[in-house]
Amino acid sequence: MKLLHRTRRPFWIYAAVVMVLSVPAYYLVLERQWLADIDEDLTVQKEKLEHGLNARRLSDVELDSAVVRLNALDIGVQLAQGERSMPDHYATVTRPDAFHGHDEPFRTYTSTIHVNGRTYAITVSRVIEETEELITGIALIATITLLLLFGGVLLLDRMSAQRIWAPFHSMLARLKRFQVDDAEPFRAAATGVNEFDELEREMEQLTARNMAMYVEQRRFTENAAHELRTPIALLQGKLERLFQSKDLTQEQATLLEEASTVLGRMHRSHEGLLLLARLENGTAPRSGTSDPYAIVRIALEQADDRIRELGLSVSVERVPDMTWRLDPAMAEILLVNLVGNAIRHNVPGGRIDVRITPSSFAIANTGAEAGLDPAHLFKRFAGSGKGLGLGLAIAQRVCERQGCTLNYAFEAPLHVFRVTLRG
Amino acid sequence: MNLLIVEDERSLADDIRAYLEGPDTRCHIAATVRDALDLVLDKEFDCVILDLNLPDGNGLSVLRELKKQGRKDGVVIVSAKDALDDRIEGLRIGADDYIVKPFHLAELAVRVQATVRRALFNGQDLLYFDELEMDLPAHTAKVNGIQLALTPTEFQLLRLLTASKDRVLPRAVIAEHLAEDADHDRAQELVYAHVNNLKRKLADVGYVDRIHTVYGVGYRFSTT
Repeated sequence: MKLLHRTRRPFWIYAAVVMVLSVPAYYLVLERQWLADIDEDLTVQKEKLEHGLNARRLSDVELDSAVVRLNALDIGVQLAQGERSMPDHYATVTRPDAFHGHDEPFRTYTSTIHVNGRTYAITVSRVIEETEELITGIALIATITLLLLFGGVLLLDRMSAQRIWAPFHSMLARLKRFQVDDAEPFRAAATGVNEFDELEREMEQLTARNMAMYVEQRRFTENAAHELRTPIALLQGKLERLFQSKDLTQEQATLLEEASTVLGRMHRSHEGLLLLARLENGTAPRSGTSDPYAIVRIALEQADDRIRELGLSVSVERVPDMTWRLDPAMAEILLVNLVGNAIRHNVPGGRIDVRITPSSFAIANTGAEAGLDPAHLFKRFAGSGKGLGLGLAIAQRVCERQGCTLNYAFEAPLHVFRVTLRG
Repeated sequence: MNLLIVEDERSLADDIRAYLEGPDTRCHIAATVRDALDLVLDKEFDCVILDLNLPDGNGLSVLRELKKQGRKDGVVIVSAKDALDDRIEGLRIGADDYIVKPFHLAELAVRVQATVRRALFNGQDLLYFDELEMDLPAHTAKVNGIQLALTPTEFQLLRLLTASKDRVLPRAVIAEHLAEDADHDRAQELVYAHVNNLKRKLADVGYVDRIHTVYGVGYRFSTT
């Protein structure tokens, strides 16, 4: 989840709750207020009428005639002579209205007045349709106002967020481009925001330290390579010159050959360790595409003699015409090591099954009759003595550097190594 | 053939000279960039064997000078550095080959010979050893005009043997050159098998007694 969404979510929830609660509350409060006003009006009207009728000091006949005329006028006041007082009562009713010709909502006030010592039941009423429309209109305006307010705030928030986060996105883009072995260092940019400026400065220092460390390590590896390679070259030259001696005895020749073999092994161990050191200090995986089938085919061709000598049957199953998104040099180191391993530890008359797909590689070979300990298998110099014991360590390191996984399983009688490419 | 060995390790330079020098090959040695520049400006070489780490600078400056002057001398870089950048830089400036220390002298002999012949014959390169005719670019060999049916490995082997004519090639060196798994205990037996096959194919067309077994050591190729 984006940080922005994370900070906005409570705001959204709060806004929604306020909207949902406030609009009905608004409506209810308004309506109540309006009704109270109307009720007050009706009460005043009643009192005015009572006061007016009593003030005129009408005779009973005049009063009866006035009541009949008042009722006939139908101006929202109805009087009916009764025996006893009625309790005050307010109500909202819908009834036919002679003037409009159809049903209308009315607010009515039923009460009792006393004129000339007589008791009258009085009903004062008023059409309230327009009032309801007004309340609905006001509630609608309130809703629209709220929506505009929240919408506007969100829009402004989004715009300012984009501006505020721009330095962050710029830094992220520059960090992604940064490579420790690149000539181009990460440079801090002035953002005008204290927090980001500090982060930029720290990032610059961190990457600078990283680059310095990388250069130092590479120099060390190169020195180590040079310092050991030159003496090995010297020793090798001497041995080869000794081989040319005319009068070598059998014993001397055997000793020389053994010395030469040991030197060769030392050379290859050194190269393997150097490669491992480089993979460990290595830079971010470089992109590129590789053709795994081509690499496997060449590796098998180069080992053709050994395959024939052991009488191995080799099968390669593959998805045709596909490449891997994997650095070609790394892919070669990985696959050549795995193929070499499958041949080296094979048995006469055995087999090798290779399966290549766009996202995986599997190589299965016959060999030792029991499974091997995976915890031990990928360690340096853990070999069975048939090789240097660095091949699998290198293969696994390549996988780690390239974000792939390398697994081992014993599926009798086959030893299976599986590479799964990063997604 | 005139070779220049630019190498500050005197002892290694001597070994290279001892291995490559013969009746028709002369070797000069320079231990510094300055000496090397003096020598290359004085005379032309068929091939310069160039170390990069020299006491007074980078060997690449010798290569640059040669290219600036439009010289055609072959250049094989020999370096203990195998960083990809160095290799690319060397080949970009115009080196013919790049070989990483430590190397077998026999391997160097093959590379130097290939470089010299590429420059001299411009792709039309035939080598003769008595009745044996080797076409290096085409990877084929004939004896008395009869084409030999050699596997790529056998041709490579013949190439190595002839490049180190009259010198003993230890079996381990052959194994490594043929890109065999040198740490495999059977590697040397495979070399034995390859050499025997090659000998048999040569004998079939009457080319005998050229590859000699040096007992307990390896093999030596020589002409009559």
